[in-house]
Amino acid sequence: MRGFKMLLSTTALAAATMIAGSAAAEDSILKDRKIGFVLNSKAMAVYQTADAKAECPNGFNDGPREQFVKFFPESQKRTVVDTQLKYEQEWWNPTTDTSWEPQQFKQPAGNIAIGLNLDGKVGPNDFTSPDGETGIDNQIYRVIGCIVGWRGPEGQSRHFVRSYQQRFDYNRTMFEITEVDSLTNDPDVTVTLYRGRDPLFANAGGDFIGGGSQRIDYRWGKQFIHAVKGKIVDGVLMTEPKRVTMPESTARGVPKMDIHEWRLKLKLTETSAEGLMGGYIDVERFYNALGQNWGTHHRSYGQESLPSEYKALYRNADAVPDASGRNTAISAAWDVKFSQVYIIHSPQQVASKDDKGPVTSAVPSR
Amino acid sequence: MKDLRRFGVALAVTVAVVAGATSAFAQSRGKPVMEDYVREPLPPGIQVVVADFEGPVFADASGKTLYTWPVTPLRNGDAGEQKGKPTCGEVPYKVNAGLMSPYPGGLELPEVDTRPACAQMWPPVLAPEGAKEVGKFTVVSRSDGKKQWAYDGYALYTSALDEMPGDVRGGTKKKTTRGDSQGAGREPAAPTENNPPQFKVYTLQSGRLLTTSDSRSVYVSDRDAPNKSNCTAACLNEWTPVQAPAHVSQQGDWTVLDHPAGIKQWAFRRQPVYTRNGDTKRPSLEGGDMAGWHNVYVTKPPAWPQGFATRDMQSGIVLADSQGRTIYTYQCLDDAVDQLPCDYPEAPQAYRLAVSGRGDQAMSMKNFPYVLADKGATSSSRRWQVMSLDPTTGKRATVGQADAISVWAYRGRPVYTCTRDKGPGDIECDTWGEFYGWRNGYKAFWLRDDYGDNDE
Repeated sequence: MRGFKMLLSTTALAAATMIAGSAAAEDSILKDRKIGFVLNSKAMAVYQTADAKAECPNGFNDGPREQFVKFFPESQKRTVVDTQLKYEQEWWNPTTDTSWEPQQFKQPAGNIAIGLNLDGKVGPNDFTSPDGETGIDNQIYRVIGCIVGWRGPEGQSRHFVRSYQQRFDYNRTMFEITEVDSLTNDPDVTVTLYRGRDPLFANAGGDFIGGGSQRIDYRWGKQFIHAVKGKIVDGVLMTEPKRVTMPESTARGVPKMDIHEWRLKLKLTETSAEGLMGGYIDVERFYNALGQNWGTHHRSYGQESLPSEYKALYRNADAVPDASGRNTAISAAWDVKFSQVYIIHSPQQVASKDDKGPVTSAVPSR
Repeated sequence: MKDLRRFGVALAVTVAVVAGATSAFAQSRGKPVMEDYVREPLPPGIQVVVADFEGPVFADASGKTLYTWPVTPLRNGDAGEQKGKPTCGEVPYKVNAGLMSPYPGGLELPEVDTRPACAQMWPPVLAPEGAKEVGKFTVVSRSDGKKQWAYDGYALYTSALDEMPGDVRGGTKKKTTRGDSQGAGREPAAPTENNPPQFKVYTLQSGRLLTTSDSRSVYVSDRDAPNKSNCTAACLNEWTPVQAPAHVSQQGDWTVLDHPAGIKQWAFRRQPVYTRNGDTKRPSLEGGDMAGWHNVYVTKPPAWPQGFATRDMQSGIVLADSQGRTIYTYQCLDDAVDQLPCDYPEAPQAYRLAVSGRGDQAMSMKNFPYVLADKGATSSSRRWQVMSLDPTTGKRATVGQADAISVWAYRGRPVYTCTRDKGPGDIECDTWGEFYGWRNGYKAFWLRDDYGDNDE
């Protein structure tokens, strides 16, 4: 018994020490009531089973090479105009006419998907999350769930988007939480999105870790600065919805997404933030970005036919109706991981004219 | 930005007397500065012409630019020529080669009955009987036994796209390593730049930019005097003088000065040159944003059409028309063995129409309107020209055609805006088309791209 009491008191002491240590560390990292995080991994949230038979019982969709062969069999006389350019015209000027598709588009079966309840409702087309949350809005899963390139762990789109985002100092997405008193519970914080311009901080093993620094791109990245209110509950940051222009990670094309009712739901620690990002993506911007970032050749890797995707995007779009009532945005979710980072707010440095060294200008020099 | 504006308004150039004025000292003297090159022995009938963007290039006796076609690896094989082995022949190809993924070979080419042979688009520069090699100029044999001039081993051609001396429409010195995306293009043959080995020149849309041999931009300062550096103390925290060897003699535009720190420093056109310690991109234009500091161009491009101006975008600066709309160029090489261009008005328009208007010229004009030229508009350079087009086909208008439209053209190709752009600053149609807009598609007219290589 005495031993048990001793064990208890030792455990209590250890726990108290851990709590005190945690509080001290938290005090330290939040000394200015702010903490920054930089994105180190992003992938569209795709629910999948080991053999894919549950969600894609009919297999995966055809890509450009497979569709080309079905459309234009080798037995026919083939011209560039009637084959290649016909395909490219569907790619770059798509329609919602499904008669063009050589076979029925394969959408995921079942009602399970990863994501967020964006509208606060439980609708007939909504999903249930793998852990049982109802009302999940992630209609884009119906478009990409059975396309090889979008599936984990190494679908081509998934792989390269993440790889580009990690390798290139371009379109670095980051956010800063300000007016924060605790990473465990704080009912009122401000979250500001920025575009960063520096490499990610990694350890010798290549793992992204906290403690790096990032400069804000004030010169070209003003359109990516957005502030939104949020709260932290039991260590989970949740932001209020806001329309944002978000940097997209691939380094070509028009590298941004237009997202309606964008938000974060992230488990916070002092060194990382991990969870989901959600919102309604503008269909046209999303579709064009796919082709502009990667054309027919690259999408062939992942058996991804953009003309087929375009039709599926509009079939499943669930927000932002236009004047005719057609929805122009589609709900989506991303698995995201961030590392803690020190965000440098200094605007661009400008050399002084009196040669006393660099001085800071409030307005970036042009 | 300041630099871009300056070259946009300052230079009224004519072919072969290029003003590459970059240096404040040179400009202050009011004399146009021509890009220097290493003089070398030339065969009879071959000369050097200094073009108004590309700088010095070799030309034939009539002034037509000479080109080579170096072998280039494509997605499914190589295209181009190896040294000493000209293959650009007299027989037109009928089908594509399938070199550019994902499409197979064996597809009949557009307008196949009138498709020119490679040698019609790229007339070989024939050498007379008994011609002997001169320096790096050698004589190679064509398959029909005729002799052809070659430079550095590569057979030389002129281009059917060039209309006048100084035109360089058949190729560019800009980045030519996009073979896997763009196809195997031709390159202007050019004499060696007259720079010390520590330096090289990058051809960007904003001009021919001087860098170190490891691609770091070099800069000059307004605070310096001719051949005298005033960058000392704290200035050196941000800028590093480009050190010259202890023993070196003057070379062309280059001199050596004694920096106060006790080192030898290079000067270009008498301006001491530096690298910027904070540059992360190679090459970079960021240092030119700093007050009193400038990138160094050995040649700057000619003025763009009146009313055109620059616009800031999400990663740099593009050219816009008089209403602020982003300007786009169209690029195309076909996929035959001879890799003929398909981005000029006489070429089959089917490629362009496929990506811009579902094969329809009217839809294409709606989606990607031509940039119309004002009545009587003229250009001071061959780089920008007013072109008369048939609006129903997109091809060159016939003489006197009643419904012809006058449009602005760059390097002999029309330029466009995009209706998806709703206002100034929009750039929705950049990289619109295959392989990021390089193989069959549109690219914004980037003058600066701090994150990518769109301006290269």
